[in-house]
Amino acid sequence: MLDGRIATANNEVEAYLFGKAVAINAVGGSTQFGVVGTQAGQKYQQAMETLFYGTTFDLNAYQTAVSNFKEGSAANLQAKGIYNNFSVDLKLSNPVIKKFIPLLQ
Amino acid sequence: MKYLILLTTFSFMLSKCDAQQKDTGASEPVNILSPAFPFVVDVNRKNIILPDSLGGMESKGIAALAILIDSTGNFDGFNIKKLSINRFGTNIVDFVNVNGPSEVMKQTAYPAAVARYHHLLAKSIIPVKIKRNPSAKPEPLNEFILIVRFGRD
Repeated sequence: MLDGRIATANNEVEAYLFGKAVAINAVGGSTQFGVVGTQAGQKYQQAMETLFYGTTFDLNAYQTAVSNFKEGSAANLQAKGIYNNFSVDLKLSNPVIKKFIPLLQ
Repeated sequence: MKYLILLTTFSFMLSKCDAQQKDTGASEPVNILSPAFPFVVDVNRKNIILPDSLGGMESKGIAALAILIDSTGNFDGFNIKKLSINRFGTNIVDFVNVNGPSEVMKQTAYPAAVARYHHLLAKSIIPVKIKRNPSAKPEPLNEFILIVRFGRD
């Protein structure tokens, strides 16, 4: 994936989506992905929900999620910016998560 | 002189260990994979056999419901976030709502094809049992996503 580079925002977005899908399918829970009250958080939240609930893969939503991950994700905020140095690949059009959509089925 | 260098090196190593312990102790543990949620929701039925008027027992699918809970743990209502039903491989309903407001949507606010399932979904999840998780602070309005499946187990 991504030429073998592991530390990417792309991989994190996909991992958070997949992990949340497993948890929600099993026991339910919150799908609050984004930071509340910020523009980046709102964009990230909407893009992640589009991917999470969608029946087909939405490339535009994926790119929005990846580009807003560092600034808008609750995960990066709660972890005090541990993903700030991760690279972002906005040209990736065939991510691994695409194979798992729809995530809820 | 040799002993002095050894003693200085040893003291330096000890001070580094102490500093690392202080750093570790200062940071708060954050569970980024599974953050605590202030409420846990349980319902009697998570699997529904659809009546013939809504597709019948051969219909299969899934609904993701956002259960809205106020800060004191009272059930405010629910919103349909996703409704996907198929019969013999043909989609009957395919609905996704990611722009829903953080307030309860009335049945009439949904497209007609979705609204007709609203009453059945409400009947299947109410009464909702809500348990408080004391380790997480509630927000003024809390959203718990619950999955309901259609068809035989």
